[in-house]
Amino acid sequence: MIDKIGRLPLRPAGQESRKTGRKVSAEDFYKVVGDAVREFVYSVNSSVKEADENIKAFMRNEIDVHTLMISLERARLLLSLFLELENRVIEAYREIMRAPM
Amino acid sequence: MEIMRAFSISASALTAQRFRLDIIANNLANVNTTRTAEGGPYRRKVPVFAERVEVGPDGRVSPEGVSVIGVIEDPTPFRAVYDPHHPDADKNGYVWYPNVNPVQEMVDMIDALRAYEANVRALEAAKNMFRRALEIGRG
Repeated sequence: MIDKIGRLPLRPAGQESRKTGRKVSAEDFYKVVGDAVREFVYSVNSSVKEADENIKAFMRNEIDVHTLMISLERARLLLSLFLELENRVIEAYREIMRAPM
Repeated sequence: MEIMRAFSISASALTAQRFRLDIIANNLANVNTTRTAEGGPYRRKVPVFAERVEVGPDGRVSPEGVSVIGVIEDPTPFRAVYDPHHPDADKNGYVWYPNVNPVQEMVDMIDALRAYEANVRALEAAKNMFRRALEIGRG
């Protein structure tokens, strides 16, 4: 879902990047955004997995209770950040689809 | 992620204070212990904490919380109590008890508890900042 929306032309092809001043092709831009989104999804996933592992570790008496709670909270915050980003992207997509042809 | 550093810093402090409470509990548990593996009465233990920093590739030093680097023994003298019937009494009838002062341990315990609470608050503050940031532009 996110990948698909990420291919929307957020910045016209060939526009100069403000930072470097050199031409940024649309392909480069999609690649950068796509990689960033993918990396973020991986980090959310790994923190949820880590929280899951920590529950088991806590049951085995291997970690402190605060370590468990912090990892759960971290997973929850990252997940809500992810949902927030997803909502924004979908909102933007709907806005564009509503435009009269 | 930057905000997660506040989490790991607070987590290290919580672990340190938990460890400190373990040591205090151990001191209190052994307040009357006259025999140890090294021989002689129990010696009061004190945890030693050190600041943890990380030096980045650009030479910048960033805080990473606290770490427990060890436990040292309190060198203050033992308490002598005259009790000739005690099996561990010396030839003069004195029993040497640990140099643990329960009052001091109680004060340390309160301090550890408060420090733990303060770090939980810091963690909650970091969490609330994150939540507030998510609310930017909503509605």
